[in-house]
Amino acid sequence: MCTQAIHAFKKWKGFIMSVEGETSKFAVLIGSLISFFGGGGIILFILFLFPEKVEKWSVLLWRIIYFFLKKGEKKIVAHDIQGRINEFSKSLEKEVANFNPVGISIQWITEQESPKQFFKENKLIIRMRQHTNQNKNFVHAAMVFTSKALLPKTKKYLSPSQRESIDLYINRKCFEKEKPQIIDQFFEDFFSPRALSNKKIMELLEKYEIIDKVGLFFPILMQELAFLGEKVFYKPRSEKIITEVREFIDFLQKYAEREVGEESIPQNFEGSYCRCGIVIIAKKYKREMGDMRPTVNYIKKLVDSKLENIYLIGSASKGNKEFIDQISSQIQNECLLEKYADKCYKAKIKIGGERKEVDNYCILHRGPIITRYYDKEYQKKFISPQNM
Amino acid sequence: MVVKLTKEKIKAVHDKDLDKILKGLGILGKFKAGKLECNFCKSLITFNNLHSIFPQSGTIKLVCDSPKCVRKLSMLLRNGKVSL
Repeated sequence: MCTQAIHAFKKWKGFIMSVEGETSKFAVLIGSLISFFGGGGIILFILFLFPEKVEKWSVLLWRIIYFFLKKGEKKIVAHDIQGRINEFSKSLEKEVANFNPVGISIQWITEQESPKQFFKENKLIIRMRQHTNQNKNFVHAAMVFTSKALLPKTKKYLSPSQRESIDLYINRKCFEKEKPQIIDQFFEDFFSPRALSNKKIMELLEKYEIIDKVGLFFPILMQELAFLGEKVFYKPRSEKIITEVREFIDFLQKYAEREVGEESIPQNFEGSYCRCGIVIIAKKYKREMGDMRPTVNYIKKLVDSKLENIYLIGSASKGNKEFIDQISSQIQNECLLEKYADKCYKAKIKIGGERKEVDNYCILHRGPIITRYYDKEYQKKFISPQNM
Repeated sequence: MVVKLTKEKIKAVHDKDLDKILKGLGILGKFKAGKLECNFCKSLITFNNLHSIFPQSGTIKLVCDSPKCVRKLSMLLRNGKVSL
């Protein structure tokens, strides 16, 4: 029996060793876990890799326990909210490269809390209903969470309508992904009334929708907003930043509305805080000739004009993707750019006035010098001029 | 790479502990007598519409679950005037 197992393991090991790269490492890990721990190893592995998914699935178990024993009510409520919000938050990390995902942890208050303690802690207590009313619990928890935990550094510098519209849009995305059954209620109670009562919010939400159609809401808009939060320190909220963010959103909207092949639309944004360029890689003849020089020279000029982030965008078709990768390697060498993130995504691009869904590929590069902005007093006190 | 999430703790009270918590805060009597108002819309706070409780300027504030008031609370959270 033991010999058979060793033989099977050797065969298995031999098989997995023949596979290259990451798949091989993954398979080796799985194989080792099976050999050492049996099925339990797999469970441990899944728990380790996907705690949010496990938490979501654990709700099912708690529901069964509740059905028979009437126990685990609070576990159902908490794990359902935590599992879904944490999974969504982690998914944002894949969309936005320097995003620090923040999760939620429900802390039940079960013991009496004196007013003294309540004031000392100075924290909100949210009321959670029975799990039969879980949709309401989820909406309330998600909205409170997003307000506080999503891009907190950036939101300090945005206008109230910019902040609120981003939260509304992200909440909508979260509900669409995690609890689609409540999306209508969310629209009826929160999204539509707010959009209808505030023109600025309505306009911003419409712009996000257009930007999102071409798949750039997260990879560029949220990405640049996340960068902005990392660049500005201890400065009070200023009209300059608010205006620049507004102009940047307009820039992306115009870009998202462009027809394929239209070259009159600006592709660079040269603000004070946000400086980026979008370089579209789509010319078939250049690709077929392997002629990357004009593009590389153009990017060099962008870097010379102090653009900090360069996005290479194009079709994710095999030939084009490889060409984009080649250009990326070239500009990393020649322009000292760092490849910061890459992703394939769905985009609805405009061809002949009609939107057509395509698979796109985007690589973000960051320049070697990122300007940071400090409050003048902070700068005088803590930072020597040569560091600025 | 497996990234461990930093967790934002949210204090919550479940319906079955609500009486106990309100009693501890000294507002259970008023709550049951229907004498508590929403901090924003001033409507009566009941068991059916209570959304949350927060301290502000030495008083206990309650919020009802109407979308307008939830939105106003979100605004206070965004502005850092209420903490989680």
